[in-house]
Amino acid sequence: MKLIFSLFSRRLFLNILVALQICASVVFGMIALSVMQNYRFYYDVTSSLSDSYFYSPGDEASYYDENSAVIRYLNDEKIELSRVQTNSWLSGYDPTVEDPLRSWLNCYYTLDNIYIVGPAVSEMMSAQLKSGRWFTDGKEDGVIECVIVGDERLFPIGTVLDLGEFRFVKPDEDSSEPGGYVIANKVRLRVVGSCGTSAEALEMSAWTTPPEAMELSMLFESLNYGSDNFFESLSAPYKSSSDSDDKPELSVICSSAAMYDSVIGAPENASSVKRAVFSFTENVTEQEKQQIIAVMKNEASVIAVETLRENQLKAFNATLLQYLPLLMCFTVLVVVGVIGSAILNMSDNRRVFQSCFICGMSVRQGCLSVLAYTGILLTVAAMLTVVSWTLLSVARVVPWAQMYFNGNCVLLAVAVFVLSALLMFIASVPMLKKYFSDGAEI
Amino acid sequence: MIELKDISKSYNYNKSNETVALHSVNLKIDKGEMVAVVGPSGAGKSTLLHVIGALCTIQSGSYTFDGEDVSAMSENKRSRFRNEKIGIVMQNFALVEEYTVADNVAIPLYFRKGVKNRRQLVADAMQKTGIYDLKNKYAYQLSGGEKQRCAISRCLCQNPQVILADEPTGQLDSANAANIMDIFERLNNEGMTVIVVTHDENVANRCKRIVHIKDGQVLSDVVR
Repeated sequence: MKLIFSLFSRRLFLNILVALQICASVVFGMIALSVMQNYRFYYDVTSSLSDSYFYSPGDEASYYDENSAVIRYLNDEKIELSRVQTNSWLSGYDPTVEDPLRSWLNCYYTLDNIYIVGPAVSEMMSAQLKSGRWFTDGKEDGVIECVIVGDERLFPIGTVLDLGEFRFVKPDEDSSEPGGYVIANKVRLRVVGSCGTSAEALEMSAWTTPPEAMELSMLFESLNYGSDNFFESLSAPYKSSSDSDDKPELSVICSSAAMYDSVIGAPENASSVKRAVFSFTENVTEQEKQQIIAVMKNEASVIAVETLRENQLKAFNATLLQYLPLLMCFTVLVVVGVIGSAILNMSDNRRVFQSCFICGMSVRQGCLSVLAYTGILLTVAAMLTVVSWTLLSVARVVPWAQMYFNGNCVLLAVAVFVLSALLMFIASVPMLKKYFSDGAEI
Repeated sequence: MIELKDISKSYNYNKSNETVALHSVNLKIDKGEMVAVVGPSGAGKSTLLHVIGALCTIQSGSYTFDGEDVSAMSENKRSRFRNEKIGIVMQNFALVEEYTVADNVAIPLYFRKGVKNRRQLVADAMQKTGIYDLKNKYAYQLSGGEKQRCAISRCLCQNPQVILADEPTGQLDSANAANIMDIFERLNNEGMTVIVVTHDENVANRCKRIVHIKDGQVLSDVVR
């Protein structure tokens, strides 16, 4: 052991420098890997969600008409896409309120994470989802299905809501009727789902395929968060749907976090979720899909998952290109450092090996001692790596780093260490053999 | 004890720059002898020592040590043979400079299994050459004579049957050289076989047998 330590300590500064080089390369490589893995992850997820679409409400300003009414017309059908205050829905429109518009806007500002798909979209969806688990007989009892995005705590899935469709009426001087917002129509909606953020939905969708299965697992998970009462309140529509062999033709993928927030979460924690993934099953015809997408596009923005995937790939490639030169520099530095230190160490330790050789050290023992020395060097490098990685993670001094540590990072680190050891060993052995061959060096 | 028959040894064997160091050398050394191998530079003295010390392989001939064919040994066996039966003293001492005297003396024991009382063995070896008091000094702090005595102690720690010394006084002044030769003589008197390669007549004259080598061949073998 003393002999091996003497091999390491003779060029202590150099050896620590090489260990630092290896450490820096490993840490940098792990950061690069983490960043790329992030893109890779979404690429893989989006690959598993082929023929799916991301839905994200567009610019909220577009929901206002020229009178700042929160009304929007779609496809020339004058279909309302409403943001409504929940209290107003439940209590009905109250014309005695001093300023209904203000009340309306208050609703918008305070509960803007509540979003209800309007009748046209509901109709479109229900047509596609006639066999879906939450859409069994909506049309028959006059209930329009809807998807609520965001805070749903007041509306467990399956809840039927009576809503008023509001219309802005200009004041008519000839009439005694005041202008303002009036209830144009009453609609009855059934809450059929909740949408999570795109990232959450993506991450969740990575767990299970097909998306329908994921949907089930997420619902279960969200139910598990809550109390039994919530489970009871929510399980009925879910259970009835799970008994059915029919697959929904359109799935709304939700995140458990959003579900949790929306169902049992504290109001103040309710997330402003405005995105969802729509996955079509094989039963949907291309025409039907395009129709739905067209409607969704009009409502807000829809992007094909395929496009997202391509974007992720582009981002991945761009990151790779960004990191590649640095990675190559680090690699060259490590290779030069490792080989250089091996040669210098062997050269400096010539006397040590000579002394050991004449005292009975065999080539095999010499090789083992070199391996052990390499082991010490790499142990130092590994310790430095662990410390550096921990410090970087805790202090977050690398803002661009994902610092996403997983098995691949360990594999990378092990690979670098093993390759460094091999390189060092390969560089050392010829010199060792030279010292031990024919006594010419003695 | 040591029997060399028709030993030939070349460096860069079968290459364009092949150099013949030993050519059909025959030599027999009995136990307890003190032999000086003398000759001009490049005569093959050191190579002969390396062959006897199993530090190198030979191209032809046979080398037996106590009836054991050393020339047929594998690399591992030769290492063990060197560790157990041969003590080697080099002109440049071959010490690890940053080791203490005691650590240097203990080096052969690193490569030997099942050794008990290591400290005692090391202490005994140092006492035999009179450097026990220097045991905690580093090798780089020693004088030339002390270094050589440390190297001899290292040999003695192995408890070898033969001590091979390659120009042991080459880097020493006459007083230290005489001291070193005194140690060799004393060890020889205790029954140890000592083979000294030298071109120093004074050193050679203190040996009981002188082997002259030139151009890789034994010119004369004189027992005094």
